Formats: sequence, C-alpha cells, structure tokens
Amino acid sequence: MEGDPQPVREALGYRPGSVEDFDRLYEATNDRLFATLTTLLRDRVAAEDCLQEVYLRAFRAWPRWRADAPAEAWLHRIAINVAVSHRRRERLREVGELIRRLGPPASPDPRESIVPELVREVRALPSKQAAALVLRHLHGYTNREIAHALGVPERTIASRLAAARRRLQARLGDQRGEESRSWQPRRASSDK
Amino acid sequence: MKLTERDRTFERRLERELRLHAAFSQQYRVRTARPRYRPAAGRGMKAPAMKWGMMGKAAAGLIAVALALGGGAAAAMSTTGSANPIDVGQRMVQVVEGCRDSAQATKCVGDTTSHPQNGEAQQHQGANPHARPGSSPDQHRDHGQGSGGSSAGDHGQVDPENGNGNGAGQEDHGHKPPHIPGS
Repeated sequence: MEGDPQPVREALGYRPGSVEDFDRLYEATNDRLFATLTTLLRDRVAAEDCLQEVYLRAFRAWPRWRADAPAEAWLHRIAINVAVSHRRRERLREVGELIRRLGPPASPDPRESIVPELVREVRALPSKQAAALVLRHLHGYTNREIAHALGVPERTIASRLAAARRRLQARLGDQRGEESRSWQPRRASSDK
Repeated sequence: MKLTERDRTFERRLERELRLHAAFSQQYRVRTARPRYRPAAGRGMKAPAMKWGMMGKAAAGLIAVALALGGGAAAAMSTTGSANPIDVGQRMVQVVEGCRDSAQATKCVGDTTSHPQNGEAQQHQGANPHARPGSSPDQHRDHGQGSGGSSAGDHGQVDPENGNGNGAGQEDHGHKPPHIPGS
C-alpha cells in the first residue's frame, strides 16, 4: 500500500484493538501522514516526532475505534490535532524568543531555503485552512471525506478551502507561466 | 461555489507543488527505527490484547521487584556465603568495621564486598580459608575464583574461549556453586 496515491480504504478490514491490524495500518498510512505533517510543520524532525505522537495516541484509542469510520481519516484527524498543538507551542516559543532577544529579528532558518514558497505560504495559513488544503490537494480527499475526518460540516470545509485559496492566490499571485511554477528545490542538483 | 479557470489552474499548481514537496521530504525522511507505540519488548512481539498490556506491566513490576530482591540476596550470598539475613548483617558490620580506618573507606567496602576473599583473609586470619558458613566441612571451593555466581551447570565444560561461565570454570569441580535465588 505504500505509495498508493489514493487514501487507504477500509477494505482492509481492520479490527479495533488488534495489534497486528494496527501494525498494518501503520505500514499503510505512515508515509501519507508524514506527508501531511511535513507540509503543515516547519521541519521534518518535528514532523517525525509528531507522527510518532499521532500513532501513540491512536494506539491508545485503537480498542475504541469504530470500524465503520475510515481509519486513515481518523488518523488524519489525530494528526491535525497534534500538528495544531505543535504549531501553537512553536508560536509561543517564538514569541518567548522574540521577547528574550528584545527586538532583533531571528536569522532565517537555513532549512526554510529549500522549502518552496507555496509550502511556506501554506504553513502560514490558519491551521484549519491549511489542514483542509493538505487533505484536499495533497491527498485528494473529497470535501465530504475531509468533513467526516475533521468532524465539521461539508460547507465549512468548502469555505475554508475557498478562503485558503484566495489567500494563497493573493500572496503568491498566478502571473507566472505554468512551467516556471513547477517547484525545484535549490539543492536539487547536489541532492540527486 | 463556481471555480473559474484561474482557480483550477491554481489548484493544479497547488497539487503539483504539495506532492513534489511531500515526495522530496519522504526521500530525506529519517525513519524511526521502531514506532513509539510499540511496546519495548520489540517489534516482533504480538500482544494478544490491550488488557494484557496492563497485566504485562504489572507482571514486569513484580518480576523487577523479585529480581531486585534476588539480586540483593545473591550479592549478600556471594559476600557471606549464606542467605541467612543475620549472617549478612554480621558480615556487613565486619566489613564496615574493617574498613573504618581505611583512607578510602568507600573503596575498601566496595572491594571487600566484591572480592570477599580479601575480606575473608583480613577478617578470618587463622581460620580455615576454605571453610564456608553454612557448608559442610568437606565442601570447599577455591576462594577468589568462585564469586562469579554462575548458574552454569557443567563447570567442567565451560568454553575457555568465549568466556561463558563467569569464572565458574575455575571452581573446584565436583561441587555445585551456591544456588542464587532468582537466577
């Protein structure tokens, strides 16, 4: 299942509380959840840490998981909660550091230089908008599936997505040609 | 809500760039060797159910306590040669008394308890060096070599190359080492 572009459907028949099934679920979904977290969070180490936290929380709740709900959507819900909490803590930490430094701006994170502008802007979106955007455009969930995963009405998802798109369009513009928009990491030549 | 062509183009761009970034991140992902949710027992272990996990923790706690007690008893026995707590207490008093005037009292106590033959020599001068409290007169062992506390059964077949046996291979063969509770 790894690398499957479509969300993991429940044809796999997971049994709540089964450790073996949870292992299978982990194997089937951890790459996709990592992709979600690495898009929402600033660095991969934090994403990996949050990913482990997600599965830890999910494992504790696994006996109570209802088999009629899609397991991956359920995991995504946990992942987004973890990511939102992490972002909040990160912001608080930044404010604390800003106060400690009393003014001078922080030197830019060198890891950010290889992150495409669009991803940086997605991360700057409000957490709920960013989450909806990632589920929709990275994982290909429908609005209904996102609504189910996040436990909100479908219309709410539609409006979050529209707001996110408007904001990104305003920030990024779309005046550039289609070809020039494709993202190339700056270190791509040395990485390959 | 109607999407314009401009919106669709922008969405395609979003999808493409988000997926490229995700693929790039995945490529340089440092995976956790073992998921944090897995119990410490290892990835191959299959817990039958969650409730057994809790019982397992309780059992592990009991085992830890038993091992600690057993370890303490084993240490005491290796020092005194007896599991009798009175012997252990007396022995400790002797060791502390013997080391009190030493310049490095702590080191002295440590050395004496880990190498009981030294203490034996100091504390029981004139006594039969092979005599052991609680043992029959014909039982003896080579002091200084037998404190490894090995539970290896056949001391005559200890492989000298791999070092298994914790010194028991140098014991006087034919005599069983003291039984260590919990081993």
